[in-house]
Amino acid sequence: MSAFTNHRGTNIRLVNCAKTFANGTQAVVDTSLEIQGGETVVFLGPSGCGKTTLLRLIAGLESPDPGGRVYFDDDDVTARPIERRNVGMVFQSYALFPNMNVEENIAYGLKIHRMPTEQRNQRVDEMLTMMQIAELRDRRINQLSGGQRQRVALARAIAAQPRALLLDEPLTALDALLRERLRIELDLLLHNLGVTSAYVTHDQAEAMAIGDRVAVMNKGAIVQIGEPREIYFRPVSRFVADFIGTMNRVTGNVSGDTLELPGGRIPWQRGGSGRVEILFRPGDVRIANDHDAQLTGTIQEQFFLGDRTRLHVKGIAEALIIVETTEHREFRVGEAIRLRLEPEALLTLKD
Amino acid sequence: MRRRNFYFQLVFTLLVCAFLIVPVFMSIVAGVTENFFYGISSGFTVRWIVKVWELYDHTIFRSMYIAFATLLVTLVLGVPTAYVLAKRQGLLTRLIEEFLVLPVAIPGLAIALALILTYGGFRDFRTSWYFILVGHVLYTLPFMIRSVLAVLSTIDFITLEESAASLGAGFWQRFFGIILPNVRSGIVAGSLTVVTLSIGEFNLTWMLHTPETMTLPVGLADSYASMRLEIGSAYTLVFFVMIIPLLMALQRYGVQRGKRRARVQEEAGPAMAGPGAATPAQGG
Repeated sequence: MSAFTNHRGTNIRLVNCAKTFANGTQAVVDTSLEIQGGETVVFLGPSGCGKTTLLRLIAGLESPDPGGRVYFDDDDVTARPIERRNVGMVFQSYALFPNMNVEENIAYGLKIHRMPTEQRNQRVDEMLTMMQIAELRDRRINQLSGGQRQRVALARAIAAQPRALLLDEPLTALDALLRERLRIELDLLLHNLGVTSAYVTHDQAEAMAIGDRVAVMNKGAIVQIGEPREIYFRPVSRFVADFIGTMNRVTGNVSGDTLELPGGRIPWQRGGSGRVEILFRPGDVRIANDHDAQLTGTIQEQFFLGDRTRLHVKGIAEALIIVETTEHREFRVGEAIRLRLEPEALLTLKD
Repeated sequence: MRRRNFYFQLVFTLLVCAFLIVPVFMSIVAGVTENFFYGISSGFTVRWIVKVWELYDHTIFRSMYIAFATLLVTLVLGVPTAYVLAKRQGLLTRLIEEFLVLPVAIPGLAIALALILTYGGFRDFRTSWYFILVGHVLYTLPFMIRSVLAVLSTIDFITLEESAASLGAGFWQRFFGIILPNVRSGIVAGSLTVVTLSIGEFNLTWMLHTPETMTLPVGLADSYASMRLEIGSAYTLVFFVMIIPLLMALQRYGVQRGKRRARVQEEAGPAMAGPGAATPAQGG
């Protein structure tokens, strides 16, 4: 049965895919993208950025505007509806069939593919064991917790060994603690299976943890695609910089090899002169001793967050800057504070 | 104080029940009384019932098969219509939905008149029971559609269908394997309504029937008008005996499913914090 040979790592290519809906909304602008076999690419962006539409284009739930092509390896699947693309899908609401129990849900795709009963039962057993839900076999869907539903949905999606696994905000419906744990599980699972995956989320931490590459989207276009570190430390635009976590943005004057800020001066080796905008993450600012301090400011507000403390500091730049520290000492509003910024933590944007 | 309140409510409830039930009971008694004019002292008899069976047995069977034919047609037409209306939501489908309520709002007599005006010329059709069937379908179809639509609007059937499609299911596999089983409660409720309405329908049927195609309610009216009181009452008794078990069976089927679901949800309560939440984080 050719449908069940394991398509380890199908290469997925979108070529010039755009999507305009009947009401004229352009959800995705002309996009080309290649997802390598076995790779996990995360589509990250705010709601309405087109990430789900892009996923649905790959799935075959939407077809691209004329001219767009979708390839699975060398097969042009553009005209194929979803039921003939052999993809596994996990929805935000899980979309488990309420009229079936856990076992029947997992077996559904195998039945549709006419897998012989014995083989099918074996595969279902495998899935139940793999997802650690063997004891839920006979449960009905409304007897499952959110985390359990998530596992069943995954088991159902991968049972028929799909060419690609497509996940649409699969963890969004869960509470924070469970989300974090399942995120780790999911990451392990995707990489052990070696299945090509596309994953949609609006949560940047989730995207960083799961993606081999992250595609940041805005207004229907991929604005940057790259490895999580690259996206985090070398954002190409303000949008990406701001979307991936908090970012301080300050303007200073370059004179020779120093950058002058209202609160002090820091070494500068990137050339240029006049006014320069630099960015840095709140966690990249160090609280300095008297002897290695570069900048001085005053604490305007402090928020104790448990594992770290967030400080709003004035006097460093024209605007407030945000500093996060893991130091356990207590900070007081109005206290003077000395800071240090390592040159490699500084980012500059081209635009 | 609270106790007195309770008894007051009990007495009031019993009075209301009596007010509704006594006439039914009187009617049944009249049907088995030798001569109702002299009261039950004249003795009991089953001869009126036998008489009714001789005179009107055909109306009873006709009502039954018209009801089930109506049910069949409303299922075949109504369920797919509800599905399409739920799936394609637009101005057109909203209009259709509104139009579907019209037969309920318009008096049955008016619909019957319209049907006679339009199709009365087709003599064979006009004199067959199919003519009544058309009237009943027109009248009951909205109830089936509404009932199925109500259930469809509570489940995210579009995502269910998409997920079935991702697993390789084609349209018909999705419709029969996923959609139908998940709207079963709506279909059961709709069927109950359709059968009940069809069996008891009088307005339309009275206009549409011919002496050869008399249904049970029309027969009842006929017997009240032209037979002695005891025969009319015995007919009512027969109606009860035939219809009530049917309705109870249908209702029980519908209610039992509801009850079982409620119990399952209760059991699911503690399971929410069950094994899945307790297993350590591990990948496959």
